Order: sequence, then structure tokens, then C-alpha cells
Amino acid sequence: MKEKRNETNITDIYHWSHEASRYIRFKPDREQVYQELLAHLFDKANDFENDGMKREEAMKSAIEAMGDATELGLMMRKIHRPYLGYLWRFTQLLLVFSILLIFFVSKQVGGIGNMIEELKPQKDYWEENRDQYNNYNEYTLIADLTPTCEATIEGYQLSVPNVLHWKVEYEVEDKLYGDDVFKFILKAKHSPFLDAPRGIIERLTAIDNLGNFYTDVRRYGREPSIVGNLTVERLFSSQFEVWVNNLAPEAEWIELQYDFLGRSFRLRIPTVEGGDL
Amino acid sequence: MNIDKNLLSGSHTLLILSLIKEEEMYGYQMVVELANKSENAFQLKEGTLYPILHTLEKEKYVTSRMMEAENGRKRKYYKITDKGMKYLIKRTQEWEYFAKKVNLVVLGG
Repeated sequence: MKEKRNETNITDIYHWSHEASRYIRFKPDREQVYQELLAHLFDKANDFENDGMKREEAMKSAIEAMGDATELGLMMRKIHRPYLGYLWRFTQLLLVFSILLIFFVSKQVGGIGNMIEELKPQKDYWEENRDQYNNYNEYTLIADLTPTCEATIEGYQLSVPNVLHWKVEYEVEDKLYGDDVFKFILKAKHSPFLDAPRGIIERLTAIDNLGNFYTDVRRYGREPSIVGNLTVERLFSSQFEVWVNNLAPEAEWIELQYDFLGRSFRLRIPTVEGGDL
Repeated sequence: MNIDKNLLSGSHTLLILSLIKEEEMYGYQMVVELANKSENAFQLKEGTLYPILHTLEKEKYVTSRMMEAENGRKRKYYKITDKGMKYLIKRTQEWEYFAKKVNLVVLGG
């Protein structure tokens, strides 16, 4: 140790208190100990002065009665170990941070209640309603596919988990008509801070392998078109049910197209078995 | 924790705790009180007073609070806790037992 014993060196009570408290690592504790020791020395020196001693003499005597500042300082260090102090501080900060984080995240996803709702496993709308169509006799299943096509755009990972294609035949005034009923699931994976990509769905168009164009306009009728509805909205993904109206019967695949504000993607979907090969 | 226990095992702890068992006191007040009560026989070594007080607080035998004095200075007052009380009683009984045995050897028998 480079320092000499401080008994004879320190004659000032402020200096003494500082030396006796400076080895304590946690600042608030250090400050408290400094004040406490200083107050004691102050009181003692005052008493000496009241007995007739001069101020300097009184301070020296007070310090002598207390003993060695460094020795006391090292004892204080052992007693006031910082980890409890730091641990407490850390836990407090962690708690505040966690509360802010939860608040912030929940605001983004429409509140905590909403967040809890969406984390619950939801039934697959598709699975629930699939049988609905198999009950009608007029419907003939042409294809039930699970393509592997994928596309990415604007923070959304798109995929088509399921494709269903039926032929429906019906009679009107003794004439037989046949239509194609074609629909698929469009699934979008996204971060919890994004909503379902409704904007993308509304602007979807398509062409098929025969060159027919399918518009994004919602006009049920004879114009070939693409129409989508949001069916599942979860924290990390959303699903749409997309219908292609007036699909050309001989088409083998249909390619979804999206172009808006400089961002685009293409997604090719088979309409019959092996159609996208 | 060994260091703390050693610090508390001496007779100073007994003296300090019994000083504050009736009323809460601050450090210097304890020194003065003890000198008065023991007719200056016991001079509490002021160098060890505060380590003992802080250790007592750490072990939860005492609690402390800051109060402002007439001269404007802030003083830390120490008060004994229930745990401290139990500890004091136990140490007192030990001391009485010890004193009795010493008396037996030195004075009686």
C-alpha cells in the first residue's frame, strides 16, 4: 500500500469523513456514510469547543477519538457491498423497461386483450368450411392442391397453402351450364407490428396461361376477376380467401400480379393437377 | 457473513442494543449516553461504533431513519427491531450466565 497511516495526516473532519467513506462502491450508501460520520465529528468537535478548546484543536481531538480513517473505510467497504444495491437498481430498471415494452407492443397490436386473443390458436377457417362444398351434388371436384409457390413483398411473406377447383353444372330452362368455381387461400406472414395486407389483396390482378386477364374490380358478373376476403387475422400471419370469377375452363395455371408504388410480385398458381409445371 | 458475525459477537453490541431498546438514538447520542450511564467507565470506541451499527442494520436487528436536527444537520436515528430485541435478550442471558459463572469461580465457592 502506497499510503501512509493517515492518523497524523488528516486534521480536517471533512477530509476524514471523505477518506472513511470513499471505499464504499455504491454511491448512495457512500454519501449516507459520509454524512453520518461528518455529523458525528461535527457534534464531537462542538462539544470540545463548548468545553473551551479552540476550533482546530477541537477538530483534531474529535478525529483522534474516531481512530484511523482508512481502517474504518476498509471495514465500511466490507459491510456495504454493492451487489445488493446494483441488483436492486437493475431489477427496478428491468421492471420499468418491461412495463414500457409491454405497453408499447400492445399498443401496436391493438391492446393487450387483442394480443391475448390472437395468440390463442384459431381454427382454420378453411378446414371448417371445406365440407360445405362437398355436400352439393352439382359440384364436381377438379383439383385440391397444395402448391409451394412463394413471394415476398413489403414485409409480407406470401404463400398459397391451398387451392380448390370445382366444376358446377346447373340447368336453366332446359339448358345445361357449366362454370368453374376456383378459390385459393393466400397466406401472409408478417411481424406483429404489421396489419393484414388488405391493400395488396384489393389490387391483385392475374393472367392465365391462355393470356386471359383477370381484373381486380369487384364486379360480380361476366367479367373475369379476382376478389379476396380476409378470413383470419393473427399476430404473425393473416389469411385471405381469394376467388377467381369466370376462370377459363381450359386454363392450367393462373399468375397473380401486383404492381403498386414501385413494388410488385408475381405468384403462379396451378389450377389443375400439375398445371404449374 | 463471517466478518459481520465477528463484529457483532463482542460486548459492544450488547451495550449498543440495550442503549436503544427504549428509544431510538443517533450515533453520537449513544456515545454520550453510554458515558453518562456507566459514569465514564465505558467509552464506546467510536471507530467501531459505526461498523457495528451498519452491520446491525444489515442483519435487520435495527432500522434507521433520517431526522433533521435543530442545527439543520441531518441525523441518522437507529431503532431496535423485534428481531433485534430477541437477539438482545439472548445475548443478555448469555452474558448473565457468563458473569454468574465467573463470579462463582472468582468470588464464591
